[in-house]
Amino acid sequence: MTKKLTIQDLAAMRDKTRSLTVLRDGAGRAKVTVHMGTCGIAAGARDIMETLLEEIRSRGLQDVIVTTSGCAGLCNREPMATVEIKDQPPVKYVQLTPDKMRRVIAEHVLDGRIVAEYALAVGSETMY
Amino acid sequence: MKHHRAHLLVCAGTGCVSCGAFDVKTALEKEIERRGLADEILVVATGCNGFCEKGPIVLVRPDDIFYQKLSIDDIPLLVEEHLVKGRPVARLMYTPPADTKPVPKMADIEFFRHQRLIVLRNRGRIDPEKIEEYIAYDGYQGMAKALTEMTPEEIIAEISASGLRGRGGAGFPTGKKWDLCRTENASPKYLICNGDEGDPGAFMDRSVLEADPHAVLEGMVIGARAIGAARGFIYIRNEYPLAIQRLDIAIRRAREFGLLGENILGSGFDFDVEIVRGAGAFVSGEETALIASIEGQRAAPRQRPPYPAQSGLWGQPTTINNVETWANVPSIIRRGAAWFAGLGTETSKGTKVFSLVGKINNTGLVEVPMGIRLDEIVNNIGGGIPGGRKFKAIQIGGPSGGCIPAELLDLPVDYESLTKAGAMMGSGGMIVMDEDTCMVDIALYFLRFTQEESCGKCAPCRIGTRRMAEILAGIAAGEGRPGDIEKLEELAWTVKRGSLCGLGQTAPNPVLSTLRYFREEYRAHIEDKTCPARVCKNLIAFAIDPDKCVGCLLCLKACPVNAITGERKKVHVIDQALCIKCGACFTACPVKIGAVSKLTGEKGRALVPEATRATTS
Amino acid sequence: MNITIDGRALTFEGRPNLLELARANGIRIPSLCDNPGLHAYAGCRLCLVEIKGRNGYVPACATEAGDGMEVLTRSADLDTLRRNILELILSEHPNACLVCAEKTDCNDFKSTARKVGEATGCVLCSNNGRCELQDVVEAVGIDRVRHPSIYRNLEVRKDDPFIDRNFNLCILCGRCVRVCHEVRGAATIAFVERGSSAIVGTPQDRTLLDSGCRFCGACVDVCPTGALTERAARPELLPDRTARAICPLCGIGCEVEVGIRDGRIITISPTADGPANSGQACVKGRFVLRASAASPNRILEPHVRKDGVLIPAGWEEAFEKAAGLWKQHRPEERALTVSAQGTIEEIFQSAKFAAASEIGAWTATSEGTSCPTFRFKEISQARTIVLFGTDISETHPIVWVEVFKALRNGARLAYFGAGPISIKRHVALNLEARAGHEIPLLAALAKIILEEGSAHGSGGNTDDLRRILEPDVPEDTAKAAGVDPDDLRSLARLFAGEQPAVFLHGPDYGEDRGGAGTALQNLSLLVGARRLSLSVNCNGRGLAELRRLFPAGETSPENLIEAVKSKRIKALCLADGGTGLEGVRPDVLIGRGAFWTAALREADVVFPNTTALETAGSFVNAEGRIQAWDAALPPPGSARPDTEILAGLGQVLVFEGFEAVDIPSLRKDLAARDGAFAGLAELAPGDPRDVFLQVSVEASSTFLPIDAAIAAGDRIDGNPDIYKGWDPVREVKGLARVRNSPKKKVT
Repeated sequence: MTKKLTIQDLAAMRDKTRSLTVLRDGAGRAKVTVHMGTCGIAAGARDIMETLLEEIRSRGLQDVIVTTSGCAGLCNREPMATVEIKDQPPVKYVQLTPDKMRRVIAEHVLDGRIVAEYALAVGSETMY
Repeated sequence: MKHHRAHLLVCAGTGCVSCGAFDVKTALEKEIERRGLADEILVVATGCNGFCEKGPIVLVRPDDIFYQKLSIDDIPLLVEEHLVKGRPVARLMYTPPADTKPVPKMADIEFFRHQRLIVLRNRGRIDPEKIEEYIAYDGYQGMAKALTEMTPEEIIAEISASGLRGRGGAGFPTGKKWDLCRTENASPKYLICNGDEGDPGAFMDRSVLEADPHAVLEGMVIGARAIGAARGFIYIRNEYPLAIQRLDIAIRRAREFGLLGENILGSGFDFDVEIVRGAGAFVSGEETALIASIEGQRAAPRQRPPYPAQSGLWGQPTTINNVETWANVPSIIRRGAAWFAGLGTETSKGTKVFSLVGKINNTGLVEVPMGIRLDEIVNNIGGGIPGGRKFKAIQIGGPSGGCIPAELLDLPVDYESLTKAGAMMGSGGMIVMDEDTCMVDIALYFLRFTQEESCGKCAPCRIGTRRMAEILAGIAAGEGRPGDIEKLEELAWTVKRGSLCGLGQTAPNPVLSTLRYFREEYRAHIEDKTCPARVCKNLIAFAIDPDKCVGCLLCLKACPVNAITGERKKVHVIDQALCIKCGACFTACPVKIGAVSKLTGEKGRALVPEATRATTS
Repeated sequence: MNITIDGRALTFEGRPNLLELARANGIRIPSLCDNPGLHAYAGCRLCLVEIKGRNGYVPACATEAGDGMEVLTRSADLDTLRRNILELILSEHPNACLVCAEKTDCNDFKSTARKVGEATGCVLCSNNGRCELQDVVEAVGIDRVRHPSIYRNLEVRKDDPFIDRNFNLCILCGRCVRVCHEVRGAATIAFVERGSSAIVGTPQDRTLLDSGCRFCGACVDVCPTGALTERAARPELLPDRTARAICPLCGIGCEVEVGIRDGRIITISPTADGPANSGQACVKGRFVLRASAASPNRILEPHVRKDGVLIPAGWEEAFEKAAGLWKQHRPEERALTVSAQGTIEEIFQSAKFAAASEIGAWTATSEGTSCPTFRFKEISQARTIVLFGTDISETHPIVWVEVFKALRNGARLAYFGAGPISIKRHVALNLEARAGHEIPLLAALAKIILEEGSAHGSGGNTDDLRRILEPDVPEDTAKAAGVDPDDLRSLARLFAGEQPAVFLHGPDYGEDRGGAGTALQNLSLLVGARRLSLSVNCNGRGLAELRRLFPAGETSPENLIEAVKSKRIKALCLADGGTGLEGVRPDVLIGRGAFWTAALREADVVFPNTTALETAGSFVNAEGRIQAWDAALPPPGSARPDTEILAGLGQVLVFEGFEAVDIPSLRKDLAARDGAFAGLAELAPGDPRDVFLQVSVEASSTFLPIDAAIAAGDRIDGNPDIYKGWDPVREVKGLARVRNSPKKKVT
């Protein structure tokens, strides 16, 4: 039987569902775009995606949006992912592996420190 | 706990449902399952997005990609390209009529860009059947504040300060209405939500109820607290089954969570609602008729005063407000009167939902700040008139409203300006008309509607509108006589001043406003026996230009009464005696050839044998 | 408070609406849908007026007068608006006659047009000359209708008794629907369809009879046009004079207006504000009573038996013969019957005759003794009403109207009795008991009330009652009576709720045989309810007082029949046809009556008397109200009022006190002899004052043992429709159809 809510319950319920609103509004603090496209997938972008999602799940992150895009053009540097923190220029990471992805999440996404050795470029691009 | 990376918001308002939205949703779910993406991608059915002509619609979030006019055949491609490979599909996106390139993001589409959502803030972004999603977007926070931090007087003061006016059409200040009820001493008191929405072409309230029923419930709890009611009724017209279903689910969920019923949120305040279904009459949208209907009586209006605030349902003080009005309340309480009053004009605060329909490119439901100019709505949001035709008029306010002509398109949309121009805000119906619309025909259409829907209680409305409709029908049929316009005007005056309720009092408005701005068209019908817009069947004739006809047989095959004779490569001829003026030939003739034309006036009459001109239709 | 209407400064008090205020001050505002007694409808829109400071126009019927208001009923715009609206109304109603310039000269021409059979103009309409639409057209002044006429072309409905329905003439004022729903509670007719198709109709367009109509005629009375009419009223047969009367067909005493033409009754309808009936009537008074005057069963002259055959005779011969027969036997062998349907003066006269004859025995068609007076209007103030054994919608339709008024104000109704009643749907609690079990059930009820402590009464010592009720076990009693014990408890709880409570009962609970009256008396004392006894006969209540003036020797009809059989009584004089005494043939049988009955056909001498319409007289109705009237029309044949018959007989028998026979003398005499009738002396017909019996009987304030003798009520001998031996169900086909209809709803 459902519990009748108090005001505190109501607020708690809202807070617990922040990830939903963040996603639907596209208003996260951080956005990670995994570049797919045929080459990306061939290179292992699906694993990067799964790793990314797994990390978000296990860490319980509420304010990170994950999107995809088509081929970014640098087909021999796949798999690639771009990390964009709000109000900061996006950073493109190349030749990722699941472990590297985890590190990027831990350091850049959560802590704000760019992992230079994996990064290709820092700068804005027009993306879908 | 699942964390999806993308949500596919499938528009499931009645408009999209009727063109297959649920099939699209099922196809999406199946394909996503098949591709092993079910843990990553969530498919959600939401309420109406408002861009109704483009359904079925799917929004991909967080990307904000807007897909439209989807069929189930498009789904495998969409899933493969966009969701697996990350490449959004341009073919399925929206392309504005004058452009060649699609606009991928919803936020960039003109139709959406100029809107300001308060009432419809949750449209297209929550599943209306999941109360958790409503709560996620600050749902019931306004109610919590009202129940625990505000006194009834403070709630009313806040609503009054916001400047909210009734959205059902009359525009009465909501705070004042609540206060009048609150100060009555009798008990019990009742709350009613008017969801009867009878204006032809209006679907604002339906969309709110289908997209965000909890907003209405939350507003009602706040209102109940303000006036001191423990029981509320939501009167929905029976022709809205999806709205009824979603509202029913919402009520049950709210009760389960203690957000409706006894001791709401532990505040000690009790309030519960029940749904009452309408029985198929436009007049039961009038507040006293609605009350009679809930009481089990025939839905005939009652003389006011006394007003429902003093003596309403079962003789008790009753506050009755429109769906849209109630849906505004939670936001006002949550964000404050000053925020709301910051939108709109001096006298008309906040936003208004309009249904934009008719001869317009972007048909749908829009919410705009009061004070926006009509031409912004027609051109920017609406995308202009299709087919390159010319704007002629916009009918605002349904059968109670009037037409605004092209020269007044810079009018700001607010209660007073519209009324001064002879129209009415009404519940928010906007019907756009182009040069192919006959204003006499339009007036006749609306008058026939009010005639059919009149309850029959008072003589001026029951008989007066009928007499007006007879005269108008005569004019449209080419039997108008000098003096008809004066007769219409006198009847209109009688009906307006003499009728008991708003239906009768405003029924002559379409006639009066078309007479005001398009008097010449009436004169042409009466004196010249001409329909300038070429609509009124008795005053037009279809003819095939022998210089243009190439003998392709298309019109001949299209004619439902075999009135066209001809052979391949020989000029076709329409037998005027058989022609029923349906226009099938006109549509069938290829645009490049354009051999069929509609004639009126002397030229038209010359073609039609006297004997077959029909009498009053 | 002050108000200005059309520049005239007026004062008022209370909360009148503008329409009634204007009318009270002689300012005419036309209206077609307004009617006293009905809630304002504001549908015809003819009474629109202008109030300074308010936008638009408001209907005067639905607008309360306010202190300081300035009202305009006429202005150029208002006049035009009113005329336009009336024109619209007329365009849906055959209007040729209404606006014809030859209206007044038409008489010369209309005889040929009569064959049409449908009212296509005023001259063919039975409402012609009495039509409110005609009046309003006249007042507003219309000479043209500028719209094409619409004729609905509906079939004229003549398939019901008494009432014709021609909705081609209906102007949708709604009065008929409103009176049926708001006042009578029958809800037989309502608006159907919508807009231009809206019309008054019945469920699935059935006949009125099949829709539960009881033909009270209220709808016909309020209809402003000829849409609802009584079949008997044909346009060429309108009354040429009217007379006021009191209907004698039940104990309510409705004040009616009798329309007469050439000495024949054309129509009878309730007056606008009868003190007992407030403008309402029932099928009997409205449509049936008129047939009594010209019934083929009337006795037109005296008859005497010669050679075993009754033949007509002259009055002198009849008096002589009757006197001779009466003197043949000793006084103690003489008996007479007294009818509760006679007038006060007639009963008084027969009391004098009985005393002068020194009769041995007498019996009356009603029992009962004096009880407190009340007014029907008080019933509408009750919050809890219990009907004991009487279906008032049949026996006392006007009382039902008052009960319905109470129900509309939120009162609750319970029924306690044997057999179903037609007003079941209004009843909150229904206790149908098996016949014969009512008294134990009443005792059981009282016991439950004592147990549960829901007693409200302030009189009586409840210990007394406990002792009286000792042996009862409510559950057993209830089951034996066929009543659910829980229902009995619910009824008990009803009394603990809303006060004041009122018990309404008819004769079954009034007369004391078996103690029903006592049990009811105890119960009413226990819960503080008023017990109102509803006498059934037109003068049953009067007889309850007048029996004091009779000599000793009152007995029951059964005992009298026995006495005749055993030859203790050898001479019997019957009143009013001798109903209930059929088959009794003493040595001497003298009969007085207006209609031939089986008993009269056995008599030696028969004297023809009058109905209440043909003599001056007075009744006491169930309230205890005394109402007087003058004769509406002369008696048929040579019939005479009973007062004159007994006086004639008395004179021939040389009895004292039978010299003066005029009504005023009789009244003075009675008023002097019996204080209860003090008000009768100066009572003039149509007296606007309320004149009641002056009784000093207080409701008992002690509980009575079950076998105590208490009776206060009337008795129906069989069929309540019988009047002076006249059975209208046999003679008036329409009434037979109404009584036999299986679809009975409430009047």
